[in-house]
Amino acid sequence: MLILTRKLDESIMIGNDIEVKVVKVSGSQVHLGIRAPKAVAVYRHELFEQVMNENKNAVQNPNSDSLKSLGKLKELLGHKN
Amino acid sequence: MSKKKKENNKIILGLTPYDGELLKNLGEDAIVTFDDGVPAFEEAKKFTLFTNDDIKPFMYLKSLELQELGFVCIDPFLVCKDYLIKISGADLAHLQLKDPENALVFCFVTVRENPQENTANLLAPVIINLENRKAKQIILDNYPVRYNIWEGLDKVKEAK
Repeated sequence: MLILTRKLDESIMIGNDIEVKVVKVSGSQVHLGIRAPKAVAVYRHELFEQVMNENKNAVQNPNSDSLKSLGKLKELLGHKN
Repeated sequence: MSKKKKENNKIILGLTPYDGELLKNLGEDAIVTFDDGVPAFEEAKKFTLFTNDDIKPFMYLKSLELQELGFVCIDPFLVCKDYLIKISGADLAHLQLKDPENALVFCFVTVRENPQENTANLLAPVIINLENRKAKQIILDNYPVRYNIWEGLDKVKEAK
């Protein structure tokens, strides 16, 4: 990992069109301003991690019994409606 | 009635549950492509989506590359009445989605032993552009990753 030191109001460029700027530092919190093309997605990493973890939990092997048990689930949903 | 609309480069989806019609549009042997894969399974790009009377209203998204990979899915609007998706410009560009009417939305379900504990991932819905069959799991920031389907159905019922 590349590590750069930046002061308040200084920024870095990633490629030609992505700018990440330190806009505020208060204690252990750092506020970053990000200017990037519309087509570039920017997420907080932990959000992405949450999604990755839940995707792993959600995997259902097509051959597993739990897929068959969806029929039972459907039945229950039917009762609910 | 569809409440899909376009606003400031974003597409906002807040539609009533679909009845399988959209799925029909996709065709039985339709292959959908996740160009970036699915988070945590980046190598899995090609999937098929199907449903049948045994599993309805659930759907099953099956990987064509990884034999053991598949996800149970549900229409989020069926379990969360106020669910609203704002698709960012980045995601719209990725999907090449221009017309909200072409968007098919579903969420992954985490199936547990006790059906009352099943949850839907409302944080990261999957959007399929029916026009080109490009798909992406997008990340919103205002919905839970584990939304209880059982309780959600109660709320939807109360609201009726």
